[in-house]
Amino acid sequence: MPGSPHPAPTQRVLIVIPAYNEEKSIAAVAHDALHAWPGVEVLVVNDCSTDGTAAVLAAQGINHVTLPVNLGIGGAVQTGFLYGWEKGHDIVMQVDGDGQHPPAQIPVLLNAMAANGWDAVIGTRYAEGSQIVSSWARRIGGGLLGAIIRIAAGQRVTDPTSGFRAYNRRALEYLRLHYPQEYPEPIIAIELLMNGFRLGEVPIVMKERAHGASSITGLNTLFYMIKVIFAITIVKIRRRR
Amino acid sequence: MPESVPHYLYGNRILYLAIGAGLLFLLFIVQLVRQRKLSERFALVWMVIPILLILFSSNRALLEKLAVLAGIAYAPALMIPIIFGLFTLVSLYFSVKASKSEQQIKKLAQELALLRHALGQPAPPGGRNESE
Repeated sequence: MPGSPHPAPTQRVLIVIPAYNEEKSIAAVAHDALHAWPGVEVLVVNDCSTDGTAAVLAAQGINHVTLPVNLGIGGAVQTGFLYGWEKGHDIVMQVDGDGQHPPAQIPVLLNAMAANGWDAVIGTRYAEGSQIVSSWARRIGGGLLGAIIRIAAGQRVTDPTSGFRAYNRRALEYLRLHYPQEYPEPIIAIELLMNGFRLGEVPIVMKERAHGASSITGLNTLFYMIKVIFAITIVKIRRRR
Repeated sequence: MPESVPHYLYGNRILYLAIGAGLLFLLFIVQLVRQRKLSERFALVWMVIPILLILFSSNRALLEKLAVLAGIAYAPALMIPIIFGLFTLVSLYFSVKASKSEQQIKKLAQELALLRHALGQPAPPGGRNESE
């Protein structure tokens, strides 16, 4: 039952929302996230936005940190993880600031993680039961990446580029120190699996971006794939941590 | 000596030119250090190139021996792969340093943002995207 909380109510949950120039959607995403789970804390990591994101966050009284330089998605999310670790949160979630990840789906991830004893869970757009709202290029690319991860780490990941995720404190201890700056999502999936963490997936419904545009489109998908495959190869041959 | 080949190819002119270029490069590096535009640590790395250039250029016998070992008939031509190799190594060294600096800057930026939050100090108004 997705709506009712499964994990112990005493567990402290932090929702990290990385945001770069999301002035139009960030307030709604943050407010919806606040009501997605009882007692949840929300932290928006403003990645040195050049639009009015900082002003919106301040005006709405949304809990946020503003990075002094643009670190990219990896550095922004890791900032939230450092915050969660220092504040003693038991579970840290990542939700994109563009409105693609409906906060109503947050309990789906948290319940699945608690029920299955996973250290990390990915909300997937492509597994059985999910409702796909995604381009074919992204689907093919995601499928190929998933196959590569299966070969490298021995587990199928249907949607390795999904940024809708939750991690427990065990995974957080690792991720606060080791979080890639570029292409973090597929790299993290493979790193967690290779380091013995239990990673699961649950089907979720995602929306189109409310505002802005994804950087992974058209020809960029090809370059993204090449770069990620190279990064995965490096992870595979790198010394274990 | 064949008529079609210019005389200077058989002399040491290219080596003298290399010594001159090496000395100029060395002076340029020293000048950058004096002007505090280049740190001593990185200057030492850059100085390896002109020093080795001068060393090989001023010692024709050594260059000839190395050329024979490398299978190069015209000894001064050996300077090309030597210089290319040195520049590649120096570039790689600085890429390693840049990667380390990138990690350090990321850590500092994250710590600064979290400290500001802990102190209740808002970030200065307006985005300052240093990466652009």
